[in-house]
Amino acid sequence: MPNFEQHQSQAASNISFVSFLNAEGKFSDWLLTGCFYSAVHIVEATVFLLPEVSCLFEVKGKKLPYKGRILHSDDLKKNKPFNEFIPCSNHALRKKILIGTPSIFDKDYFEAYSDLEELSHKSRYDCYTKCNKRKERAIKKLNTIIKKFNERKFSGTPLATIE
Amino acid sequence: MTDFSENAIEKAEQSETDFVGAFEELSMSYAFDSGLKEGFEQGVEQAFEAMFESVYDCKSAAECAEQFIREFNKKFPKFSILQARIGINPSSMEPTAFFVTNVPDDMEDEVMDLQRDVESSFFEKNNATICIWSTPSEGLCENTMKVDFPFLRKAIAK
Repeated sequence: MPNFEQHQSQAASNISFVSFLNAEGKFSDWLLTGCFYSAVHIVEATVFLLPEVSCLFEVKGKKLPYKGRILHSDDLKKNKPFNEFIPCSNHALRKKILIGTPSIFDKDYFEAYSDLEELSHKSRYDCYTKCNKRKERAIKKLNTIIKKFNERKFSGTPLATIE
Repeated sequence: MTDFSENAIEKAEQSETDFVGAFEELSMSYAFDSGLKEGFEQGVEQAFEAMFESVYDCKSAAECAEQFIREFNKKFPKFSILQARIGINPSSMEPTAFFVTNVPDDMEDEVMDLQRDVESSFFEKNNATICIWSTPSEGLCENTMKVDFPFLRKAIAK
């Protein structure tokens, strides 16, 4: 599994792809997906360095809180902290961490990530061609996430925002 | 000229045996397929029950959807929700409330802001993570939506 530097580097590469599409003014639908996968790697890079995350699962009517150190979102599934089958994708696990760890990922962060996930899904499946407003929104939300990531002053070059 | 020698009769009998064998094999193959189909349908039912009744709290998704509908009606009195579905988003396996609205494209931003507000406030109050998605009715592919949210119709029917 990728480490912090690899996630950060992949995020930078995806952001560069988004900037390229934005400058070209073409393939707005794929720009939205590029924004989402930039955010995915930014979140995973952050999770990799955090001393602990918290999240909450609901299984068979029981609330199961989790607090601890993980390196990747899907460690929650692999480690099976609850001895229960959790039918959850890595995307869903990541969102549980985002909403469950507000000291790191605040409300704006969670909302920006959720927006990007929805916009990316819509762009891939809806065959919706009027993407300009969605594009503006996606770039704004990705920039929010990039700024919050840079504010934490992790090692390495800060990520560039999209103009 | 027809050859009625013993050898020929044996060959004919063997050929008949081969045919019966092949027919039985084919029948077994069809039986397996229909059994598989029937078994799969039963499996889907059981998996459906396990997910909606044991694993996921469908009630929370319905409550979250209701909250969104109330907020939507307040914020967009001139517009409507044309379709509402509750299900599990197969790409993320998250409980999801999905809406089709007639809000025009240029106001989609405002609907998305409302979705995020409702998701966050519902989590704060109920500790449940429900995903709310919507799409404008324009350009909507009904078939895609059915594929995306295939489970809810059954959940409601129960």
